[in-house]
Amino acid sequence: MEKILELNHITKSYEDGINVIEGLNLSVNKGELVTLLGPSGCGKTTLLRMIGGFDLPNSGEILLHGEDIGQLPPDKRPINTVFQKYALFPFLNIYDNIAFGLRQKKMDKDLIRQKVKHALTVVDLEGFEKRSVDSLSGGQQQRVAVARAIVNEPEILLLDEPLSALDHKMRLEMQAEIRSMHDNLGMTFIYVTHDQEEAMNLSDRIVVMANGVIQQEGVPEEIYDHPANIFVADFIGVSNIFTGVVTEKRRARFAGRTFKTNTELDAGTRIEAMIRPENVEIRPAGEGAIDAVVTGDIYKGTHHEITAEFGKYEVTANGKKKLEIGSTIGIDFPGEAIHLMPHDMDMNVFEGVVNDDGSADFTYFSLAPDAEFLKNAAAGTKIAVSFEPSDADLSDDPEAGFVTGNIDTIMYIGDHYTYIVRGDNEEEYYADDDWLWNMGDRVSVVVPQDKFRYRELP
Amino acid sequence: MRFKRSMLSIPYIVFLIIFVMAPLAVVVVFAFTNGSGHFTFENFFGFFRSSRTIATLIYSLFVALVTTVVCLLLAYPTAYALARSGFKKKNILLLLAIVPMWINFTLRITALKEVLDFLEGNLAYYPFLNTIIGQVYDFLPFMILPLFTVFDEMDKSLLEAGRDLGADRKSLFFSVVLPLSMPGIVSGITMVFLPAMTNYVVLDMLYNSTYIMGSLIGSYFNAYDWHNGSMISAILLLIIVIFSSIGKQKDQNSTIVTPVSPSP
Repeated sequence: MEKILELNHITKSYEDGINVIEGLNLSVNKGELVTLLGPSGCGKTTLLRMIGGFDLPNSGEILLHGEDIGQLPPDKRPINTVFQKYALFPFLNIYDNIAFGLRQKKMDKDLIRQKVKHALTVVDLEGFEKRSVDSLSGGQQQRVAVARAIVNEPEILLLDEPLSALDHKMRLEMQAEIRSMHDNLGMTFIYVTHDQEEAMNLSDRIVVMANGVIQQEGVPEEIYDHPANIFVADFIGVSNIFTGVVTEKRRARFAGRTFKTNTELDAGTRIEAMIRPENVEIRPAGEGAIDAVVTGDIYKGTHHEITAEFGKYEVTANGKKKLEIGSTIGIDFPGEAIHLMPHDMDMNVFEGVVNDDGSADFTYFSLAPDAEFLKNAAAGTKIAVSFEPSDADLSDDPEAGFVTGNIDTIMYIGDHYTYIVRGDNEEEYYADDDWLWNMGDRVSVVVPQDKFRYRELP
Repeated sequence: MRFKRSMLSIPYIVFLIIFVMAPLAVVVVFAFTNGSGHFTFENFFGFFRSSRTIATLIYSLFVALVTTVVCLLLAYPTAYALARSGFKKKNILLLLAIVPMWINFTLRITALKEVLDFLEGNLAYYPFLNTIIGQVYDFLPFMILPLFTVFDEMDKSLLEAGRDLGADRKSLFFSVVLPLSMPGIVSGITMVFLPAMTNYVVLDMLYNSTYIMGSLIGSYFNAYDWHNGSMISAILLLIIVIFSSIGKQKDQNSTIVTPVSPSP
């Protein structure tokens, strides 16, 4: 496919020096409908404004058909924009609004008349020429804004959250119309929205952005079924997300259990596991991998959205029938529906409070007042302590470590074993140890005093 | 008696009757009566028959026109620069332009008189120029304020839309900025043109002995000819009504807040 637009290493920062967009690369194919999707402040609008020429990138190039247009003003770019609040000229009628761009090009009057008439037909507003902007509804103004842009036959049409001011029903109608307009015109559309449903409905390709960085790009199905990271998974649709670890080939441990998955990730990889509510299986109590207590049931028209709790975890599932709140159900996560995302996360992080004597109490254990940090901290300070699994050792002397528990999971990772020790309150400790332990062994976790890392919590 | 919401309007109605309706009625009654109290159109026709009064009317219109044009030419770029300035506290800049209004009018013109006297040697050399300088000095803030308001509230996306649709800077000004600022221009003109026709104190103080409408009314009243004085007031009122109704038609959707008209 022919590339129409290429963004290379785009960086944009505002006066305060904070980078809104950093080193961004993106290419758009001719005739494609690409959506930039993300929460407000993710940089999607800034990116669109740079393509339109309203903001200039600090560095990087914007290539249109291979030519750098990055520093050109908007009127020198063959690109037109449909603005968020339409930005129709209130002092011109509909005809003159649409003819504005053509008149700037000093086009022949008869040709202008012909083109404006055609544009009005495209947006289904024949006969509106003499109407004033004020006399139009939001949806009609939206159509005029689209007509005013496409009448110039731009190489690329930019749409900046064009439907955000419309009500829900109108929005759905306009989505369908924009899609069919795109297909009929064969024009390249770049569409900005924060509405994931809108992006799903419209796009050939979705570019998910957060914090000025592209998180993932792909067709809607790919984004939904195989999110690249926890942000995308959480932003698109409803999802259950658990942190955990790959324990061995095709097995992962999360939510306090070990599940079969079809993952290719290596043992020991820290992961986020995602499963969509429609893939969670609800069974009678005792027949699933987990027993959970129903805490909520919201009827959604096509299904019941069930929330259920087990231990410290919560899961959302789509059920066919109403469930009694407080009743126990069985829950299963089918292996093929579990999507694992590698995730660099902190393990062995525990929160607690500093005592008067410089010791610290955590939820499941206490630490003696040895560390400098604890000696200097005021009583009552909320703190977090963490340690690396590689700094922890296991001992069969219950007095040797700061906490005791049972070996719950054994992972062989290349040259060593990583064990998950399950404390008496179902909390988990990760420790690397050279010795071979057996499942269920009672051990204490030993961490040298200087290997604990402390930090103050806000 | 139960309190009704409509009773809240009583103070306003009383104010309206005493300070607006009654004086207006008095002016109209005096305008259409003669010295012996009989109804007459003579004052009205007399105004248009006298070449002196017509000349004064024309001179007033001319002074007001020049004042307005100069004010507009000065205020437009000033207001634009003020509203578009990147300065965070641009209201302070605006204040600097407006602050002369807070100084007593006579004091301001007296100061101006001294300055002009010093520069020109004798004020009598340039009576018309001095009049225009004085009038512009007096009325400029009333042109700046409404223009500042339109520029300050101007939807930036409309300007971007103009550029997006192929307008360069110059073309953007004539096809977008100017039409968008029309309400401000219209209300600025209303604020300046009409008062400039009658503000004779400036002329008096700057030794311009030519009469404008205000001085004409003053001269009649000083000679106890209340009937002709009232008629000229009524005619001015008529002109004002005609002008502002034209202004309103041009400016139906404008929501510009205009400051109260100045009066010496």
